[in-house]
Amino acid sequence: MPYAAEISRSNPSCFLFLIDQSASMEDPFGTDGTTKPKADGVADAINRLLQDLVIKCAKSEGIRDYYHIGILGYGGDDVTPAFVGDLTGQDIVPVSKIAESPARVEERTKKVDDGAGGFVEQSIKFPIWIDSVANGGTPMCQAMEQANKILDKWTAEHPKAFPPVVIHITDGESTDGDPKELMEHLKTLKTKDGNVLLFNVHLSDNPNATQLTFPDNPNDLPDQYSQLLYEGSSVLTPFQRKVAGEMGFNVSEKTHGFVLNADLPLVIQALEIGTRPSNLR
Amino acid sequence: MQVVAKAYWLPKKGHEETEYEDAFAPDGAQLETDLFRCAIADGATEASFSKQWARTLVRAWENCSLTKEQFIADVGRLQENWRRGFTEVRQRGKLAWYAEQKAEFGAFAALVGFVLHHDRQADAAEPGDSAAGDNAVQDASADPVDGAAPADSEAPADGAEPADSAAGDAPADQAKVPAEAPPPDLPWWEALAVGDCNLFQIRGGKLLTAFPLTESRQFNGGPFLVPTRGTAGSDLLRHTRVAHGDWQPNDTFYLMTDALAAWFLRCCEAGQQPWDALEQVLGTADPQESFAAFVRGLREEKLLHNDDVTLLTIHVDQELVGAAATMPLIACEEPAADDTGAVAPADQPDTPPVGEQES
Repeated sequence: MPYAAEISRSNPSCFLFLIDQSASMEDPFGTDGTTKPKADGVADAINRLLQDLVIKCAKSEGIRDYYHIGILGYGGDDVTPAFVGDLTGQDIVPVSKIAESPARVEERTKKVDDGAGGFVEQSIKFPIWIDSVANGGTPMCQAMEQANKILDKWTAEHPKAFPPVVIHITDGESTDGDPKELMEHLKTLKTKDGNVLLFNVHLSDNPNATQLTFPDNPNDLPDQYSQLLYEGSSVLTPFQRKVAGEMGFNVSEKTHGFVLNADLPLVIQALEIGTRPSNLR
Repeated sequence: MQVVAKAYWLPKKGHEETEYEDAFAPDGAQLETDLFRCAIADGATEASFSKQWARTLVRAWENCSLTKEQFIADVGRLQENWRRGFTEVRQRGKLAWYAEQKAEFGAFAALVGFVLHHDRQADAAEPGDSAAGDNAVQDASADPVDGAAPADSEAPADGAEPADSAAGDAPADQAKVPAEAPPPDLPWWEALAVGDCNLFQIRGGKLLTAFPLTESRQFNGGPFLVPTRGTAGSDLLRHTRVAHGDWQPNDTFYLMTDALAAWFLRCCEAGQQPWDALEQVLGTADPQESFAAFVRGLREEKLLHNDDVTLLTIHVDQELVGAAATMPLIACEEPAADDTGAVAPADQPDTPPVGEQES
């Protein structure tokens, strides 16, 4: 049965993030008047996903290396590892290194339930591994080529692993050609447990773009860029569908790992590394 | 009554003994007594400090109440103690950012606590022991373990039905929830469970009781567990199950954490008698090692999910004439623990405290 491999320190899995850092990511996100650049939102989202991954692997004695993690940023003319700080230049690192090496830890605030029907602001630590970057063109094909290269090697070295998960965040307009074939090739890479899983997150400026999470058909997509990313994304695994269903999403066997103008839920929650209490939120 | 109890355990494959997150108490005993209490717990892998919380729960079981409402209150005190301890640790500022944030989610553990009574009337007079006067066999108001009830089954598969209902139409037709309330003059037992640790009662070569889960498919990996964070007690109350029944001389009880319990029920559903295999394994000169080899073999054959495994066996018999002394036997050693019961590598900050009710 595919996608059933146990994820453990001796048999870790892999996350590879691909981030569009082109100049167009400097544009504000959405059409609702917000001034926050897309690049800032993406950096926040990636830093939060990394934080969630680290916490997922944290035990009282330290971090268990259940995952290897890489981040590639693409913008200007090239593709480079996006880590800043001590991890600068590294493409794939174990999650314990991520935990130990944030470039800095910022203090931010979040609203939490005050237990009396209202909310209070609470200070939280927010580790930073990547910064907001927006520069030049959108070499998406180069990024996909690099991802293929990295994961071809990784899957060869970890033949029994739960397959790598690729999370690709972009505003969708490749400037170095059509990445379709490269996305398809990426999804053919596999371990004995299954093929690489590709999630595409599209941040679209199209005025017709609505928020969509895990659609199972292309009917509501606003343009060819969304279409490309929808078609390029993987179909959710049965376990991911189960978790997505528990999270309230309508899912079918055709549900794609595609998100339009919304946060990417599920990918951390649907990682199974042991007993997860139903009352752990 | 004479009680002989012994615990066997093995960490998850690929894990160190110090990473074992189940807990049990006692680790072994051979005694003459009118009242015997024991418990096992299974700390959730996905949370941190779960092993310490599991240990806190089994050690506190000695003084825990058996009415659900009182149990909730007992857990509330443990939670408050845990919270105070964690606040102290946090204020020392030694926790890494991720350890602090992970600990904020709390720790979780499944628990099954078990009590053997020799005499119903005598025990009923003892304060704080249990809900001795309750004739209900198993609380029908309790929710089943999360996801446990097969949606397509009309049978009371979760064991939540009262009185004389059996496990249902599952292949494991031997597996039953307690079948009837014990007559007042019979020796009896009580149990309380939250989550997917299970109790089995064997009598005369047959499975008499399975509690709280009665079918292997009910072990789904996502149960509601006892949390360190004080949720409104209603959630815990809703997921707390209690049961009782009678015992007879030579009955054997097993307390098992989920992986072994699921295997046990699968065997029953296949018409096998897994207790025979267990007794054979445990009857060797080095039962702990035999048990470990047995579990490793089941894992190799993919018959057992790779998880921490704990088995507590309890054999009960008629009392020995003239014997009255308590004679604890150390059946096996748990992973090295400090004097709080918490196990932590030397380079880690202090762990949250164990409960104030520890024995």
